[in-house]
Amino acid sequence: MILFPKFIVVTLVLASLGLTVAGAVTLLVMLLRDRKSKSIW
Amino acid sequence: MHQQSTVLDPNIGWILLAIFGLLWVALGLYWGRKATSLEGFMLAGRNVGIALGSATAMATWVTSNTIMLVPQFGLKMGIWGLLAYSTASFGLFLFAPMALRIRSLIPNGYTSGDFIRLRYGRTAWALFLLISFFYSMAWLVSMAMAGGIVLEALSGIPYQYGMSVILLVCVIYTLVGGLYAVIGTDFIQSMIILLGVVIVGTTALMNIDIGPAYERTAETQPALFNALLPVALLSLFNNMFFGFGEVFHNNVWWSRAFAIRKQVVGKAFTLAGFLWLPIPVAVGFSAIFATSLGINITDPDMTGPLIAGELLGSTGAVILFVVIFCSLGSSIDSLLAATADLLTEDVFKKMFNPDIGDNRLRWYSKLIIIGLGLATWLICLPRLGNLMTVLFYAGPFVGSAIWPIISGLYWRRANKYGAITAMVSGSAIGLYAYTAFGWYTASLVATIVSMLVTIAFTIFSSTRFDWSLLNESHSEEVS
Amino acid sequence: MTSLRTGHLLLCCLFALAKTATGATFNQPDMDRYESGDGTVQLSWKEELDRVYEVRRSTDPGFADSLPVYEGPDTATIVTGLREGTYYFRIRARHRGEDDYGDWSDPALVVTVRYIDRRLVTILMSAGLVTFLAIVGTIYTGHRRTDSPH
Repeated sequence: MILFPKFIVVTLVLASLGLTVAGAVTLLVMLLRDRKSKSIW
Repeated sequence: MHQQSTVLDPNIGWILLAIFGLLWVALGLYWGRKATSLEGFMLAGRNVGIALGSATAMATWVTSNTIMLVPQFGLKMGIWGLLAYSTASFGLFLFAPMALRIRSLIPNGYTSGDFIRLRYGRTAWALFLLISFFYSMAWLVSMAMAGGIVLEALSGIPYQYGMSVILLVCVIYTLVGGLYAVIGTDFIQSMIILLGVVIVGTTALMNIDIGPAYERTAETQPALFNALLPVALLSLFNNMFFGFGEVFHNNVWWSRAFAIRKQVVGKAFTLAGFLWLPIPVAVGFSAIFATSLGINITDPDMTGPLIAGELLGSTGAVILFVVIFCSLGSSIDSLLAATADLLTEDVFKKMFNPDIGDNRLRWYSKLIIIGLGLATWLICLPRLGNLMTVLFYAGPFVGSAIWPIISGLYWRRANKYGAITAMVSGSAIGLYAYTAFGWYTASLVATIVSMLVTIAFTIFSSTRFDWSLLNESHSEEVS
Repeated sequence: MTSLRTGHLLLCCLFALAKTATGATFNQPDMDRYESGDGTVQLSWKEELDRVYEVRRSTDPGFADSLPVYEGPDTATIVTGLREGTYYFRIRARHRGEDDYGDWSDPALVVTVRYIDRRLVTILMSAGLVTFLAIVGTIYTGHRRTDSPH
């Protein structure tokens, strides 16, 4: 069987955690921006 | 079983339920004051910004299944299991342009039912509402049951109590706060979920020396890195289309399309897709390396809690408990609100009481929320295990709705005969495939049948739909 | 070997506190045939007080080249990620605090891993891919066509 090479697996794991962190930060930044422009809802 | 019977002390579980339950209800009361009209109550003023909009779409799509099933997928199917699960985010990405289209076409719309009624007429509308209601109840029931089961497994809180508390809390704050409460709490819940995933995932990563772990696992458990794992590929598109069907048809997503400010609605769903995309791998990768972590999985259903507990002790258990409670809350509140909206607007008002005023309707919508909560509670109370699987039967039904919706949004030539035939034949043949060939074919077959029917009817169609008919200020209906 | 183990079991029954070595067996209804379509095998075995168990697996019925599966006090485990093929599992137990293990379970548990028919997977994947592209194509082209200022 063909296996995913190690660097792919490592990249996927690190990328997933990194993206999750980036996502959380993005949400907070967006919230602050919305708050500044008084357009939260 | 040698493993300790619960990961968390019941008293701590109760305290956590109380803290967060009261928090959501308090926020519901506070934000509910913004809902001064029916439109405010149901659609949060049609002006939700991108931050709250993305968060609510992501959080609603993260269910307790995501937190509890994903580790199992990782444990049993390795990398491909997790990648396959990630494709559930595609529905959010694809709904982004659709949401834009919906806002352009139906600026005054309230529900997904509004679109089907105006686009395809009353027969298609009735059929669509049946499908939607069946799926929504199945999802609601499975969420409430899963919640009770998971909380009991994690903390020993008896199923009936845990399930009841979750439902009660969600009903109360949805009731008092409407979509403002739902979306506001979704933001907090999404941040908690993301934070919890990062904490547990990072701890797992710090405990795994990935290089040697990969070598060892590739030696002894090679299929976990199989680039073409049959069992994962088998259901890949089936599950993807189940997901598409869920997102494209359900009022949970349409109500957000109407609630989020038009200028940002597309971006909000796209961002939500990116927020959701990494979660399966982030949540599930530690299960792939469970053996390297020295963790023995005695019960695959408890893979997630077992790993969190081993890595972080009772802190891990608390984090998992809170994350699951948030993922349950963020989905159940959305379902309650959106399904009640559909029943209120489409059935109660448009079918039976077309002249009812907004204030009275708002009162009835609250009754309907309570009714939905009560019905769900009664169905869940006896804990009939088979009810969890009813949701799978909804797969062919929602799969059959994909093509009527996308063709209805974009093709003038799509007509009601095609839509009705597509939904009926897709559902029927998909159900047949479920029983004859297996669950992993049901949504796939339903979608394909529905697609072929829709395309056939469209090619030979004499209809050239007038898009302005969808803008109900013109107050015309397709008969 | 077998008569010795039977003797041990009898002793265990008669003298509950006797510290003789013990046997252990898997909880499987049918010891001869067990098939896995996805490379996972869920194992469980009878719980006894203060025991430490050892489970090993091999692709050789004589366990010449065996791999560790689990060692510890739990009474269940799951093995995942197995390639296609035939696997043999066996278990033994010892008292906690002692070094001597009892005999290995006999006969060994035989598990055959055979994945789903490749042709079925290919058919479903192809049909799915075509449909997927059609859905994405419809939304994309529709969006391009209609996304213009009114």
